[in-house]
Amino acid sequence: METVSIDAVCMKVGIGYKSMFVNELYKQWTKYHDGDFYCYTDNPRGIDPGVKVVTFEPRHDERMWWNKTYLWQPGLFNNPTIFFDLDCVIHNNTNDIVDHSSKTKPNFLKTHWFSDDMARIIHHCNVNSSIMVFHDNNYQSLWDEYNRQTTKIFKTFYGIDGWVFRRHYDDVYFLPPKLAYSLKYGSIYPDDSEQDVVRSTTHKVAVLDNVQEKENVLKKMWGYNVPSST
Amino acid sequence: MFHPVLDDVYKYFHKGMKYVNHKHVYKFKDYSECIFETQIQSKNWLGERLRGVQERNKLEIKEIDVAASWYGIVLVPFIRHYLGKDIKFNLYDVDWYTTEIAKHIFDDEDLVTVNTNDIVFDELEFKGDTFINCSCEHMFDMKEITQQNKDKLFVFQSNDNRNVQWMHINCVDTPQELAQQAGLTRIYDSGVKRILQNNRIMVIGKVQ
Repeated sequence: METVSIDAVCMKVGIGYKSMFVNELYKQWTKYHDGDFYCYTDNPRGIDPGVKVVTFEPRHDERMWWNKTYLWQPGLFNNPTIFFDLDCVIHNNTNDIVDHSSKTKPNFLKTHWFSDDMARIIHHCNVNSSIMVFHDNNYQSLWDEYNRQTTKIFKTFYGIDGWVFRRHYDDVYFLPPKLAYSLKYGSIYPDDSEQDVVRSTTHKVAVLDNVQEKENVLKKMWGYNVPSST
Repeated sequence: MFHPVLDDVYKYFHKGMKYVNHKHVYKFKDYSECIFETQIQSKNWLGERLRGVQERNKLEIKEIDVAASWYGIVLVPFIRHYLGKDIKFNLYDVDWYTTEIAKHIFDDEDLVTVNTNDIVFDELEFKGDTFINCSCEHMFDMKEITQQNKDKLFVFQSNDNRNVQWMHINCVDTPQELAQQAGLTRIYDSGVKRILQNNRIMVIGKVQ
């Protein structure tokens, strides 16, 4: 049986994240995978030569995360491709995430680390786009609507997740729980919701949304010697 | 701030609070915030200035559509105080839980309807002669709505508080900016009011 290669992609735009974040993510990826690692960026300086860099002109110069929508265009990737935010940490092989993704619907994480009532009623969102899985054209519906109503969407929603929750909740596919977790909030509420715990042996990927002093926390997770703050 | 209208506001609030406590405890924080001092002052300001516009220009205001109405328990009593008790209100909010609570609060009033709609994306027919949106900082420019409803009087409020992360994404600094955002060309009144730490900005006008 022919095995399908799985690639990875990240995005670095603006000045929020340095090339170091791309390089560390790439290192984690190559430890567990053979597939290519792509980075879409407006500034390739300092990025590891092993990373397949694609330069592009960001559409948004504030709230830069909206540029992730660029990756939704149909046919952009040749192989099934998993996207990671630059503040993710890959602990293990992530093929399970891709294997359990939808080929026809847009894939997102669900914030399983919150109770569903809290996520939906208080946060008005239980969608998380820190990890996405792209197949041929499974994000086409979102891609089309975003292009059709870019300004309206951008001016109404702070981020992608809130928009997808409010407008496309029934169209998305949620990746299974217990594969990725939130460092800040836990893995799954209420059974595994201890905060600020690294779950490197039981989970594939850590998501660092809302983590304070994120760069220092990441450096510790990357194995850097970082002095503890007093 | 003390105001005689607050008696009515608190009656509504009390009715809603019992319901929140019983049915929607997750909305407790959100509900508590709807009678913050900023809400009281900004709605009082709106009612006062809208009455001035109505009187000076001899405008007829009989039915008001309120976008992003939240629970409506501050705006409705203040508008009634300034413009009269016979005005009909059509409240719109995108959040089902919010409108569920608002429907309970106004369940014995024929002159208030509560609707769960997304005014940004849904195609809606607004029935009122006046359209109010006190939350322009939360959403897209109002120009699309004013262009589709050129016969109406519009009352818009926004603010310059960009520090409310995730929420305030379309703030303005001046009434002129708000009027331009909304495409209003005939301005009846506009102003800036300092409320606690930030400026509330208002414009009342039409498209002509």
